[in-house]
Order: sequence, then C-alpha cells, then structure tokens
Amino acid sequence: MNESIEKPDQNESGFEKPEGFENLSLEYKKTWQEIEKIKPNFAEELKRKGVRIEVVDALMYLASYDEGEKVLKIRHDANVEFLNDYIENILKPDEQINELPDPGKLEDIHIEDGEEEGKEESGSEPNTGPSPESKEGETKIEYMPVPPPAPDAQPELAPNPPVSEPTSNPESQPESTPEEPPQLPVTSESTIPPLPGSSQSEPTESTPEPKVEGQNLPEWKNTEIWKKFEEARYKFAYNKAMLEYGRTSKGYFDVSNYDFENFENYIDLSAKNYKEWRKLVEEDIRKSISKTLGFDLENLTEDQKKELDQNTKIEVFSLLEDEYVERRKVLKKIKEKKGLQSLAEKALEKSKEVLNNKVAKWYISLSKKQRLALNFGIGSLVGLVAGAAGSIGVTSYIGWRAARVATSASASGFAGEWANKKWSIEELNKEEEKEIEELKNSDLGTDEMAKGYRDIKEKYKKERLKLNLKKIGTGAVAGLGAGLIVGAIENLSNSVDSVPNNNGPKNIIENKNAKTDNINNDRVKPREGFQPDERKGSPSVKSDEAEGGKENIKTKKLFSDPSILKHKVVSGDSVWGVLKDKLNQIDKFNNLTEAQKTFVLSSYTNEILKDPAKYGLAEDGSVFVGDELKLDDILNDEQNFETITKSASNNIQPNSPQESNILENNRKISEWVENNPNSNLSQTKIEEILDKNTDAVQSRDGTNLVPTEEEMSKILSDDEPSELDSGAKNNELQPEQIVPKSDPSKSYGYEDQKNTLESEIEDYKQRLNTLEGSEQSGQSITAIRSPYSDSQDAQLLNSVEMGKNDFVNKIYNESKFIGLFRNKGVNTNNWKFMKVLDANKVLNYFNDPNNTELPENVRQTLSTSEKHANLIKGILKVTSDINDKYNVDFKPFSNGENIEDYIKRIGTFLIKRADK
Amino acid sequence: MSDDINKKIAKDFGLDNMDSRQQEVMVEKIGNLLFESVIERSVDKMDEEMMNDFEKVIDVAGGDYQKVVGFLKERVPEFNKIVSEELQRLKKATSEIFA
Repeated sequence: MNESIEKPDQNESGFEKPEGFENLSLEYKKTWQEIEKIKPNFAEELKRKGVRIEVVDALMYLASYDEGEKVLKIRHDANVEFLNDYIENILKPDEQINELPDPGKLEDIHIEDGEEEGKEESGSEPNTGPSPESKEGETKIEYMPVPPPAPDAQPELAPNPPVSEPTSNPESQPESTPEEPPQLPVTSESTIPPLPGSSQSEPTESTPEPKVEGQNLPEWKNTEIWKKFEEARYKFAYNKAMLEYGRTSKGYFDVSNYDFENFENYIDLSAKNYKEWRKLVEEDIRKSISKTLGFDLENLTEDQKKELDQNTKIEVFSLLEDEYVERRKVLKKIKEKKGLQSLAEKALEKSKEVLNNKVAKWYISLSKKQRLALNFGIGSLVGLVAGAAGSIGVTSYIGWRAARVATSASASGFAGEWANKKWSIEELNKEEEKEIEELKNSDLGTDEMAKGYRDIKEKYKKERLKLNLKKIGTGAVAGLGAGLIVGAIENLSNSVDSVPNNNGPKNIIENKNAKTDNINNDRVKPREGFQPDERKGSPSVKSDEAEGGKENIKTKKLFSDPSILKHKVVSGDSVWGVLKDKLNQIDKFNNLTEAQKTFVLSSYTNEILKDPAKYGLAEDGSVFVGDELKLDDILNDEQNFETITKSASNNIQPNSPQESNILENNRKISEWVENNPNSNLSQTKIEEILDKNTDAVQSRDGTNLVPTEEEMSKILSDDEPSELDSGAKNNELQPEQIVPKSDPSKSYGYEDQKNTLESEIEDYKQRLNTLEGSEQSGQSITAIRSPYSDSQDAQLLNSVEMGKNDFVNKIYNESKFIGLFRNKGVNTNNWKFMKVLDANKVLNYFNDPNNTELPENVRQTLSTSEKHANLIKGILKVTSDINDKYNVDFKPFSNGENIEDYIKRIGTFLIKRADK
Repeated sequence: MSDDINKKIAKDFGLDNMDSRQQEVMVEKIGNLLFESVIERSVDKMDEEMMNDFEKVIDVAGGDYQKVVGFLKERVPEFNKIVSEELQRLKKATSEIFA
C-alpha cells in the first residue's frame, strides 16, 4: 500500500463500543471518536478478522495488537493518523525472512523516498508513529536488520517503530501480523531523532509537557524525552534480539556470511543511544521525586541527597524491569514473525508460553524467602556470592559455604536432607572429612580457610554432641542459658517472613516443604532447655517410662477439652509459642513469674525433643507450616503439670540469681532484636549477644546446675561401649582421662595411688599406641573407652561390665504397670545421674553431709532419693569388706573418678581376687 | 538467607549504599528478574518431551524449589551458561544504576 497519510474518513468505523459508553469519561469518548475515523477499509478488515478494540489508560505505546487474543488495545491519547498507520502495519502480510542480507550487497537495500521525507519531519518533532509511507511501486523494504555497514561508514540507528511498508494490494492481504520490526537503513540519515548532544538534538533541558491524557502516569512519563527513550529502548531491544536469534536460531537465518562483529558495533551504538536517553529520563525522575518530597534541588542537605538518590535509583530500576519486559515482547514478535514455518513449531511456541506462565505462577506461590534462596542459589552456580566460575569469585568462607549449600556440593548441602536425616556418628565424621577436603580444594585465602576449618569443626562437634546426648537421653544440649538462646531464636528472631506479633518478639517458622539453604546451625528448632534433675516432683519423671512404652494410666486431665491441644501450625508459630498459648489458659501457669514460666516451657520442650515425631514435629524437632502438633499426651497430664510447676517454683525463686540470669538474657536478646529489625537472629548470633559459654547454668549457690561442656565430654567418653562408634576417637582422649587399671597388689594410700597412677598412665600410653595401630589395620577400638582395653582383659572387661550392671540394676530397676514393664536400672535416669558424679565427693557427702563440695541440687537429689542412698550404701559396704579382707584402703581416686568407674574398679579387684 | 549472604549480594549488585530495608527490596526484585530471564531462556531450549517433564516437576514441586533447580541443571543444555549470561547482564545493568 503506497498511500500518503490522508485525512481521516468521516464515516463511522462501525466498531462495537464498550458497555456503558455513555457513562465513560470525555477522554474515552474522544478516543472513540478517533477510532471511528479509521479508514473504512481498515475497519472492515479488522472486523472481518474478528478483532476487538479496547481503549486503555496505561500502555507502553500508543497501540498494541495481540494476535492471539485478537485484541487491539489503543491508548487514550492516540490519534487517528497514528491509528491508521498502525492498523495498516498489522494488516500487512507476514514476511518470511530466511536469511540475512548478504553483507557484500548492501547497496540492494536502501531507504525509500517516502522514508526520507519522514526523516526530515521527525528531526524536528516527536515521532509517535511510523514514518511516512513510501511511494507506490517503490522497492519493498525487507523486514530484517540491515547488515552492518562498511567499517568506515557511520552506523545508523533503527527507525521509529513501527514502520510502514509499501504493499501492492491492501485488500488482499493475508492475516495480519503484530507490530513490525523497524528497518535499519544504511544511509546516513536517520528517521529518528538524533542522539542528544548532536546538532539536531532536542534541547538537553527537560521540558516536561504534561499531557492531560496521561491520567495515572507519573509526571516524567509525560514528556518528549520519555517518548524518545521508549523508542530508543525498543530499538535496542530489537537489535539485541535479532542478534541473538541470528546467532542461535539456525533455520531462522543463514548466518554463514554474516558479520556479527560489526553488527555488534551497531548494537553498541543503539545501546549507547538508549542509555543517553535513559540518563535524561533519570534526571526527570530525580526532579519529579525531589518535587514530591519538597526538596530544593539547589540546596540539598546530605540526608536529603541520600534519600533523593536512593528513591531515584529505585525508580530507575523499574526502567530496567521494563527493559526486560520489552525484550521479551520483542523476542516473541520476532519468533512469531520469523522462521516459524509450520503449525507444529507454532504450537511448540505456544506451549512454551503456557509453560512460562505456569512456572511464573508457581514462583509467585513461593514465599519471599524461598524465592530469594532459589534465585541466589541459581546465581551461586556461576559465581554469585561464591565459586570461581563466575565473574566474581568467592573471597569469603561465608560465601563459599553458601555456595556449597546452594549447589548441594555434598549431601549436607541440602539443609532439608541434613536436618531430617538420622545421622550416625560415622556418617557425621565422613561428612566432616568431606567438607574439610572441599574447603582445602577451594580458592579461599589462608585466613578464610582457617575460619572455615574452625567453623566446620565446631559444627560437627555440636552435631556429635547432640547425637550422643540424644542417645544417652539427657536431652539437654546445654543448660538453661542455651535453652533461652534457642527459645529466643524461636520467639524473638526477625525474618522477612515473620508474622508480626503484637505481643512483642516475632516468631519464625519454616514452610513445610522448604528445604532451605541455611546450614544446619541456622535452623530454628524448638527451645532446648534445662533438664530438670531427678528429685521428687521432678518434671521429667515421665521419661523413665519411655523404654517400656508409654502406659495409658489414667491421670487427671488439665484441659477439659483435649481437642484444643491439637494445633495446626501456621506461619509465625513456634513450639514454644504454642505451648505457651495453651498453658496460658491455666491459672497456675499464669501466676508464675516470667523466669518460672521459662522453666516450665523449657521442661516441656525438653520432653518433646526426646521424641519429636510423637508430638507431630520433624525428626530433628523442627516444625513446618501445616504440621499438626499433638500435645495432648504431654500437656494434659495434671499431675505432671503440678510436678513441673512446683519444680519451677522451687528452682527459680523470685530475685534469685537464676531468675536474674534468665531475665537478663531475655533483655539482651530483645534489645538486639529491636536494634536490628532486619537481621536474622541465629543461634550463633544469640551466643554472641550473650557473650558467654551458655553450657553452664548457675545453681543457687553459683555452681553448675547441669553438666558443663567439660563434664559433657566426660559423659560422652563414659558412654556404654556398645553405643560408641570408632569416630569418637576424634574426641582425643587423653591418657590422663582414662582411669588406669588398678593393681590389687598395691596399697591404696594417697601417695601410692599417685605413684600407681603415674606409672599406669605410662603403661596406658603404650596401650594406646598399640590400639591405634590396631585401628589402622581395621580392628575395633571401642575398647579404648574402657580402662581395660588390653585384649587379654577382654573377658575381664565383660565380667566387670556384667557385674556392674547387676549391681546397678538391683538398685535402680523400675517396674511399671503392675510389674509388666521393667526398665533396667542401667537405663534409668537415676543411674545416669549418679554414674557421672565424682565418687570421692559423693562418698564424702554420705559420710559427712555438712562438709561437702557437691552442688546444692546434687545434694538435694542424693538426700531425697532412697535408691541413690542404697547404691552408696552398697558401695561402702563392699569397699569396707574389701578393706577388711585384704587389708587395703580401697577408695575412689581423688582425680575425679566417677561412680561408674569406681564400681568397675571394685569389680575388677574382686574378680581378680576371686581367681586366686 | 543469612545477613552475610544478603550483604554480599547487595555488594555484588552495587546496593551497599542503600539502607538495609531497601536493599532487601532491591535484592528481591533483582532475584525476580534473574529468575524470569533464566527460565525464559531455559524453556526456549527445551524440546517437547523436556517441557512435559518440566511441567510435571512444577506440578509436584510445591515449596521444594530445589527440585526445580535440579531439573534445570540436569536437563537444560548449558544451563550454567544461561545463568551466567543473565547474571552478568543484570549485574552490569544494576551497577550502572546504583554505582
């Protein structure tokens, strides 16, 4: 079609107006008036194709045609001249372009005269539409990128989109195509406004010309600069897309002779043009924002400048988002226009579009945290935050660690797998070695590597400790202080996903299906707290029945409606919080002090952690949205509740050091949270805030209420041989910690003991060397745990062990449910409490209760437990008999020998004597 | 995402002069852009069979985005290259804005 722009036809186009047209604004009515002036043949063609017209407010261009939906959207400020040109283009036949023009034949492609006329016009005023049509009969301009000009020629820019094109017979045009790509003329004159700064450029000062029709558009989008910016952006996007498809889409173009390098230069100019216009838009944005904020641009304070800069950049970023949208649209158009030869290919493209939409919907369904983890996990594949492959290599251990997790470099990379897996000590050790190996092979500097090594060692040490503690059933990772820490994580941690809690600290929770990228140490778990000691009214009495299975003894119910003790976890919940909510309904709980409540919640949580799955938690004690917590068993026992609350009242007296400790920790954490609203409160951070080893909690008299880490190591080293794995050798037993084998032929005075000890330590060192050699050859070294690890004493070892067990079982056996279930004495908490105590101190206490070094709580337990008393009596009786019979002074070593070892030593002495 | 990782990302994209709240907003937006562009290019490389398989993964993934990433890494040819290119593009673009 080679028509010049004509005056619009005065006849009505006959398009169907929207419902309620009469009630539309004047603006809309004006636009429809323009629509009705569209050329009749165009209108007819559109109607024939079933195209619907919509007038819209917000549209990037004056018009947009969706071929799939058969909708032509027209912006309310479009005029009929533009509309006619636009519609003409969409009604044009589809151009099948199969190859790029031969770079050697540039002269074949030239600008039509009509376009040159258009160029002159567009040099002086904004070009909101296509360039004027070419004259009839002129050479058809191909819809393809113009090949790069000769190196010394000035590359030209794409003309304004969309571009008109001459056709022979408009009425016989086949199905229309959407917006035509711009042509890239080779001549020196451009059809678009030249670059700013050139002789023909527009004034560099922005002269906003707010157009009334831009109802909801910001001020800076109503300027000429904005329009030119949009054009430049489109061209740039188009050129890039063409290059990309030229390179990658075989069958779309024959690229064998194509000079991409020069075309890239061409694109560079196009990019430069785009950026120049963008700078001007940025200035407009800055002015507009400054005006909104009421700032004086000439006299900005530092703060104002910072705020203005920040806001401007954020707004400018939205331009980048638009650029992505633009690129996608252009890519789509190119794909539709070029190379899609068959229905099958078109169908495939459509499927891709559907799939993209589906993925987008799925992505939106993720939480913000998940999206972040997903995106930057992907990014870390190629060096974002970590790795050496990307443009930014990792320099910090933190980054390296994140990348490991994100790229699942090892099994432990998947935090979900890590947390939910039932690790054995051996597996943990293997994982530790693997991580260390990977660290060594990383590109980190020495300092970072050292940091990483420490971090890994610490992490696995904690995991082993937890594992062993679970095995021996103490349930306490550390004392009350650490319980507060973990509880604080639950209750006070800030997260982008947290639900604001008007009562104070925020709670966080993980989505059920989220396998986060955080390493295990940063996961939030229920509060692990204080392990109440074994005294009358002790809160954890119920756990002794665990071995025999939970009996269903009738107990008085605390809650009249047990259904409220089932709780479906929602975002923001935590186990601690849920427990607290439920218990808050009980007056007695409400009447406790804050610290006492903490004690109670700690006790319950501890119980839950012994068997998380039973209460609806994950294996590692985590909770997820959607989980159903089943708290009936644990919360609805009135007797248990009474016991725990009584213990709380007894242990945490008002104004006591314990209370102060708890409250002070809470205060510190709350303060930090308030001052760091956007930071995560991890366990590591909590420990840092509290700045202490929270393994030890002070009792009333200042001594440790629960075992310290040192004592905990001892606990680990004193595990039953059958529970130990070879990997525990990493605990690096020192010979001094190993009780030397006693020599019954020697006397047991203090000096003698000392001498015996020293010589036997030497002896034992020799044994250690032997055993290490055995380990390397694959022999078991579990016997290293025992003082009797000489292979010749294996039988003795077994006998001693059996003897000890018999002795202990007789004292501590428990039977429940009319004797049907028996809990072996060696498995009871009573024994576990007793066996680690310093034998010397315990015996001294029984001999002279007023002169003892034992902590208060231990004394109380010993003094109130008949079983403990019976055990000590038994020990004293046996040793008294030994001393009488063999004329020795058999007593515990003063170096901290514990009850269990002492009993074993007694047993050894007796067995050896029995042989003689 | 830990604080340290967030800070590193912010630094990589030239956002370290912003206050943390706005950094968070921008990091999220950048992540969205990265995802969109990577997915679009990845889907473009898929044949029909791969698209069907991918769709199945999406249908069952739920919050388990690792499954989705795992699929893309395993099945999309030159996936790392796609990510790298898009990341470079984003970094360049954002650095120009925020530097």
